[in-house]
Amino acid sequence: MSSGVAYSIRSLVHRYDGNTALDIPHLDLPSGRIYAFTGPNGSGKSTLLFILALLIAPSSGSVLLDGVESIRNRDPRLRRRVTLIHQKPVLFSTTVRRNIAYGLHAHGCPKKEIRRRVRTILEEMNLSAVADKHAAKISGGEAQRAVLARSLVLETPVLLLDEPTNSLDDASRPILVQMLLGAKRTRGATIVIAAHDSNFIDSIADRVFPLEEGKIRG
Amino acid sequence: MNDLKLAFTEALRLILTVDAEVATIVSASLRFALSSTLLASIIAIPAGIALANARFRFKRIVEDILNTLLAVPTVVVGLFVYTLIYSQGPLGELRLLFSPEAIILGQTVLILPLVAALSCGAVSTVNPTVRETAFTLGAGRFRTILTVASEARAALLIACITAFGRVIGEVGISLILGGNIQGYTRTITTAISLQTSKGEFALGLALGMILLCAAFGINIAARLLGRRPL
Repeated sequence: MSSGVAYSIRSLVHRYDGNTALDIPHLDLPSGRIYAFTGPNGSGKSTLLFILALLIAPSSGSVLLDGVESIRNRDPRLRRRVTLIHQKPVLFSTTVRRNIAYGLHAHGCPKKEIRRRVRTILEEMNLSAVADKHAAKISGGEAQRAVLARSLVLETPVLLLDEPTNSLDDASRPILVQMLLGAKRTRGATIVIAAHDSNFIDSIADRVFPLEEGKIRG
Repeated sequence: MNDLKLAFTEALRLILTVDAEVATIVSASLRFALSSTLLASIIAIPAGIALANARFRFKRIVEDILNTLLAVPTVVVGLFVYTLIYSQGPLGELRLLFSPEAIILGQTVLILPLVAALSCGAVSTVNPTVRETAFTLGAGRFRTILTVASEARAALLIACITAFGRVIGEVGISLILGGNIQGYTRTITTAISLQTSKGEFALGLALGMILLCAAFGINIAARLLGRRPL
């Protein structure tokens, strides 16, 4: 399925109520790198991530994911190549362990494999002590790490993060950087980040795309 | 005043000594109400969830119809079901009239829209990010719907409790479809109605107190479920 290019975007336009929220004529994102889209609120960063995550279909244009047209593509195998961490993430009303295992169940992973991968990421994210606590009963920092763990445990080829540092405390930030660099280095993951935080972006991104009124500048 | 005092004393005695007639009536009421709540929940919760997730042209009209049905008096539902199951009705051959099954059927019809509307409302108010998160974690449509419903499970349980409260206290359906037959279809509310018409208040008061306690318990349960994460 892989073509060496994670995303090929062609003539992508998305409009809200007649206003153009996104207009990207041509963009290729080769696999195995970390990309950042920066810009003020309303510049189209989140909209782009939602399109890349197959959550919304653009008004027009084409987005190839690993060489396959992703727009209105209902193939779950394609969708399961991508995971998105929301700007304001939510944990499901269950234990931390079940939250982290959720996507693995959805991906059809064998139970033994699920147990192994969940145990490993709980340790890596320093969440083992709260694994069986209800998500509503853990601290803010633990919840943030649980959200990251829930997506990272899937080991999808593409990981999308919408303003990931917004909801992160200072202690969790180095863990995020370490996990993202690890995913890129060990699995060749493609990571796309929408963010304001230039310090974070500078420390991690291979390429930065400034967005302004839905268009890539520079 | 003295009569009322005597009636209260007698009512308390009937409750505390677990009077056989009181026990039979309360047990029948609970059986009918629990059965109809269970039946309605099995049908209406999935229907409400499906409605909340559906996107179609006349969705608002369907919601408006559901909300209108919430206000239908129990006697009208009783009359409607009566026309279905009386001897000349389309379901007359089943000989359901004046049986516990008739009451359960009528009560189920009464609370179907209530449970469906409350379930639809409960699922609709779940944070949209839950649905998007489930989707981006690879869940299919069915698992995503189940996840969203699971997030609303406290509200769904409250819908069931509210429906139970509605049927345990209704009188029109039990009277029209059950016939208030002693030891068979007599419920708390039909017994109260009968005793009051006979001027015998003690049994009616005893049953009224039990009904009030049940309503209190239902309210407490709904409040506790509403505030704790399940």
